Amino acid sequence: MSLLTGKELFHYRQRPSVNAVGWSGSNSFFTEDEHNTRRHWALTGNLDNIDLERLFAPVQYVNDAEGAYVWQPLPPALGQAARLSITPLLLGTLKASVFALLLAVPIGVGAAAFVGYFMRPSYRNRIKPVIEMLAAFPTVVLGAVFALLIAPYFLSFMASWLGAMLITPLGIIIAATIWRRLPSANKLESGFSSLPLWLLPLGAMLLLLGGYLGHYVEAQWLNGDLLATLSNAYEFDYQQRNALLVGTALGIAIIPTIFTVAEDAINAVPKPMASGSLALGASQWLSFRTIVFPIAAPGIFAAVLLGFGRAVGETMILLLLSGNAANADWNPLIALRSVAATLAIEMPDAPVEGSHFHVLIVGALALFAISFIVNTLAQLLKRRLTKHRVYTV
Amino acid sequence: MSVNPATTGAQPSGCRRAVAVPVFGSDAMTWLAAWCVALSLLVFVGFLSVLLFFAGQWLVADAPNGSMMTALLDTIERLLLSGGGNGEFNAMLPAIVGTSVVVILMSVLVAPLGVVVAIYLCEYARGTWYTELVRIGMQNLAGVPSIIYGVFGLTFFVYTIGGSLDEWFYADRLPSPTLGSPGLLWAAITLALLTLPTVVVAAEEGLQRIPNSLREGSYALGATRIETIIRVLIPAASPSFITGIILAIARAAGEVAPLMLVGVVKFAPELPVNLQAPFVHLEHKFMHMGFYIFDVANHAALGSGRLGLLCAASLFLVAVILSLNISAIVLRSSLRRRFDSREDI
Repeated sequence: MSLLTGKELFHYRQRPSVNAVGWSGSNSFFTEDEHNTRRHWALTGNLDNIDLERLFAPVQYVNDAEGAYVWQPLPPALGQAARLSITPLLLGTLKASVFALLLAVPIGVGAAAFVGYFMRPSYRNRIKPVIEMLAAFPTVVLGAVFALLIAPYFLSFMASWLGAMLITPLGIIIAATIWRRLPSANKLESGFSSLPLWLLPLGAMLLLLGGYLGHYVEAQWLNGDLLATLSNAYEFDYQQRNALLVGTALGIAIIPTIFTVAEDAINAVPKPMASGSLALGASQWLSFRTIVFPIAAPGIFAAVLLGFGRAVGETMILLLLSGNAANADWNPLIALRSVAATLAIEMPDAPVEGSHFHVLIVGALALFAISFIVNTLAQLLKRRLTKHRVYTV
Repeated sequence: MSVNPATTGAQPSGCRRAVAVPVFGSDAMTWLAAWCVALSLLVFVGFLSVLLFFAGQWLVADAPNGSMMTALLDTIERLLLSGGGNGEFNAMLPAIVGTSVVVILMSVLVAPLGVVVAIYLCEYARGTWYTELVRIGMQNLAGVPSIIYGVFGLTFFVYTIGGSLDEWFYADRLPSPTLGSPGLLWAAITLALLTLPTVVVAAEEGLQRIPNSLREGSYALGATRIETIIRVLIPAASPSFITGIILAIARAAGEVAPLMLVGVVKFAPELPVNLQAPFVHLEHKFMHMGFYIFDVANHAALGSGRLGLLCAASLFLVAVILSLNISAIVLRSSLRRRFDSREDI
């Protein structure tokens, strides 16, 4: 008798005295003899038959045409067991973290480069604690405000959002180029450390302009709805709570982590090394890119790793924004369910002896293993950087 | 600013032009990097102003006829005692009390432990290989996701230790668990474990900054090592211990995920501290600010007042956490100044 997946878990040999057999629960059945007396039998043991294959490979369930990754801790029907494939959860965690890194790495490392290399120490000492303070921002507040203020409008503003993301860096590059051509360009030198402050109004204007342009393009050429048009053309799903939304919030949450570690690495590069290249006529950016960055690169990589470690374990943002539907799919516009959020929701209610609880522990162990590997690697990289510094100065 | 005609002329087209334009700060990449700084600050400031705006708007929204101030006080009183909106949501005061109680318990647990660990690492086992190992372990512990601490707290503290304690001391109440279910005590211990690295790192930094001459002077006067530690080093480094504890409190106050596993609830009928003996009820479940915010965000039925309530609660939590962090930074920098100005480090 196969219970779930075609595998034989136990064998039932019918006796002649028994007239009928049936399931009476997910791990109990009854038999009926010729006098119509019902007897109930309970099955004990590893009925859910959890093994590595069930956890990580697609499983073909009864009545299903093909194998699938399903996370369904409550049995879908009587006589069936929970469907505990951990792959969609791990994939969800990974997906959210990757999108978070896509946002946070450029911003975090860019800010670290500016504060650590270009900025005057007096400015740096003031601005660094402010960005670090962002790390102390409770993520539940970030997630909750995102859930109420941004999530409902995220899809409808998608075009504006993309426009702003595209136009702002472009505009800043153009502005920098124009500024270089201006005859009064060297005026900037005195106020250089405060460049971010000068860029604030320009950047804000560019953000608005980009947003408007995105909206305009959407209204003119995309029937007023970017996502509907695209999903009709290329056939993909989209949902209000999706990986991009989670990635944005999560990215904001991990920017300070990446910034702090990367800034330490960049600032630790001895100043004379850059001065040598400056004296040979290289521009500030060139000496940063060719001298400082390669030396600081292990530290910056450590920063990215630590940011990834933090994103993987983040719970509240995912709980509030991810939609918590276990999809094993790389589509960035549908809901996901992460390991950490699953632990927070299901762990308190899972019966201690059941296989659901044990699978959740497997998930926790996987998270722990990821963060352990990532952290150790980052520590070793940072240590190497400190050694390097001792020998070169 | 000047382009060297000799080099540019000699090089083939398509070479890097950046070499020839050594203008300070005029590079597009530098501007982009500067924009990243500006954007980070913009997000931070934007967030705070969103919180302030919606919270303020909501707090003074239904002012009856009186002044703005009375309306504000009215709303705050109602929010604290009878709940948000028009009283259709849980009051905030129990959440504030719950957070405070669990954080105070946590500091009582973590402060001595963290300081002792730091003193051992810094004064007794300095420079040994296992100190390095412990340090790497500590930093690793600091990077472990907080939810994992929650899982550990639930399986080890609640089910294993709490379950055993129940069998030994509360056998008459079984099968309904007393200490074998999530509660205040386990939440505090879990948070203490979570914040231990913070305290140790800060305390260690303080101890390392104390100049050796101070230790040597104490030894020269005939003090033993333990006397030196108690009379000289602990008083000198105490600001760093306090910094560590403040940072630990700030971190613990913002954590929600682990608490969801070890004792926080949506609504607790009574406070974890009250006038009945033993006054602090370690086995009770409690309410928590962070979870309150989470609950408001999930409470769709709350209607239009939800955003304001959420922002008011968030603003309160953020203000507490940020001011704790600022005071820690100020304290730390004053300690640094105190010892960095000395010549004999």
